[in-house]
Amino acid sequence: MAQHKIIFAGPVGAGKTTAIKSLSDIPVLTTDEEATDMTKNRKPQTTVAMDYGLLKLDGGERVHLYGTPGQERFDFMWDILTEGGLGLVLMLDNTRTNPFQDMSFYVNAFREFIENTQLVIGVTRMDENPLPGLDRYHAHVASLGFNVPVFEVDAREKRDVSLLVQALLYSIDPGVKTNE
Amino acid sequence: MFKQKPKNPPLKVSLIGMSEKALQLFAMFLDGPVRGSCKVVDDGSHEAVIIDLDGVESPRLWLDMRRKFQGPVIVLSVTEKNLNHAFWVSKPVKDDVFLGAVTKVREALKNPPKQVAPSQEPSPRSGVGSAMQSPSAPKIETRPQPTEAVAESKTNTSPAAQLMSEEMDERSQNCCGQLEDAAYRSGDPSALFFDPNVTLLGVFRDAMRLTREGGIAKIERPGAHPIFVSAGRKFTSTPMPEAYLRAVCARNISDSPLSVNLIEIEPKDIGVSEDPRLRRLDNMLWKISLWSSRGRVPHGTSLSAPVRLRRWPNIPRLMTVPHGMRIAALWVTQPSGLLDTAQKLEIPYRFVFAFYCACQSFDLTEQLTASSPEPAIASGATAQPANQEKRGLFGRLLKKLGFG
Repeated sequence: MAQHKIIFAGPVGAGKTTAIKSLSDIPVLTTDEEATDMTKNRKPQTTVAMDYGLLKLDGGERVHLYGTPGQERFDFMWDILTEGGLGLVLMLDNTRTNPFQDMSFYVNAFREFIENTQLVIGVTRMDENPLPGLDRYHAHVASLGFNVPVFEVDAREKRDVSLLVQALLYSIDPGVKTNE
Repeated sequence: MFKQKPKNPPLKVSLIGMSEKALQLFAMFLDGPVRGSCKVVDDGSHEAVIIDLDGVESPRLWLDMRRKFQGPVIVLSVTEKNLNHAFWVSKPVKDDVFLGAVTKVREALKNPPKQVAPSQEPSPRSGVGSAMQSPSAPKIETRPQPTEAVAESKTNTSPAAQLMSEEMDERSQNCCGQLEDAAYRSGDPSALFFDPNVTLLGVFRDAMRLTREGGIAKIERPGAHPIFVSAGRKFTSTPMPEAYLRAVCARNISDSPLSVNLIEIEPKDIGVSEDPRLRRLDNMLWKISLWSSRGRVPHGTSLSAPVRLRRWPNIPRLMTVPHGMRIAALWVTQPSGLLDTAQKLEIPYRFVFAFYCACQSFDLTEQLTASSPEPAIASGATAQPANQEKRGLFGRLLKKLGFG
């Protein structure tokens, strides 16, 4: 049976684990550990290996949801994780000191994968911190060479995360038909 | 003081979609201000269901409930719901509105509908919306179904498709007008084009321009509800409910012009819109654009010049336009003319025209000419369009996520 995967990336605390939990049909397998480095200032627990969730489709097909660890020291895993992926959902936290630096880091780290698939960006915690606005995110991702969906999202809301995935799929092929 | 007890025996109801705390609060409400109107039962003998549809899982909850129960339902939600055999009560729940819904449920139980009726425009001043056709209700014309997909979903027994179809009908009815595809094919300019300056849209855009650097603008017409706008402070507020605003958007204002004036008042002194759906400035502009457009585009718009989307609208926070995500993706990846877009995606033209008008209000679109420069940036991925196998996967995945 065909297996597919979608990758969720982003800095610590941006909502990758929560987003996967919002979509997954199974309890999310997560490898959170007590943070011992600088990340503990943002989250008492953080993902040190990866998160894993699963979407079971009609006919037995499966879409695996992988969340990359937020810490850069685990970037050796990213190439393995992305192999065969449908695309990248990049989660960014609007309360971080410099979310654009985060965007640059992840877009450049996954550039080859994105260029062969597709990227969508979800900006979280805009209710806590409305600035910078989405216009600045669009401008920054344009400076990196991409015109991709950038949405304000709440990772706890299934609808928001689903819309990110919907945008990812339609960006690859707007011709996909549903009963919408 | 509690209301006078209704003369009817209490309506036997089942409560769905509420947390334990919400259940306790709602039980207090039923035992207090609306005492005697309803009695909660859990033995399957309920005559009606009261369901909270604001949770993450509410579509699934609704479908699960409908599989088991076909009778009348009271839907509690902060956003307007027009579902078959259901009466919407806006949250926070007011006792008189709730009692009005209970009365409608009783009438519905006496006169069960023989067939599913199309959704009915709610009264602008009413907090209760009804999608059920009662004998006293005016007859509603059945709208022709615009596409095969929609027509199939009407007869498809899939509950998910039915729910999506109901919601889509309501959305398209409200946001994209009712122009038939034939009107677009005939190219009748009087049907396809409009002048934003004689609609609320033109006035709202003026107010946005006036307040770009700050200040508050007040849009008003004597005797009507005002709208307050500040683009610089990302603020809007109005005392009118959403259905009323929608009706204002449909009017030609040249006979009774609206005025726009800068006023000296702080947003905190104005307060937020009573209707929670009218509190975000971006969504307000988006909605006013769609409702003023009603499937038309401003005079001077080319129907054939390719449309390029400069950047994506913030779709999760804006009123849904059917197929809006697909239209946006096409205009980013393969700029296409308005007519061409509808044909490529095999969707009704009015969705494309209304979506274009809304995007234009945010300055997100440009129409390319032969002399237009190539975009400085690529559309993103260089991924090839999906093959049939992948399209099948994407379709199944979208269906799983509730979009198909």
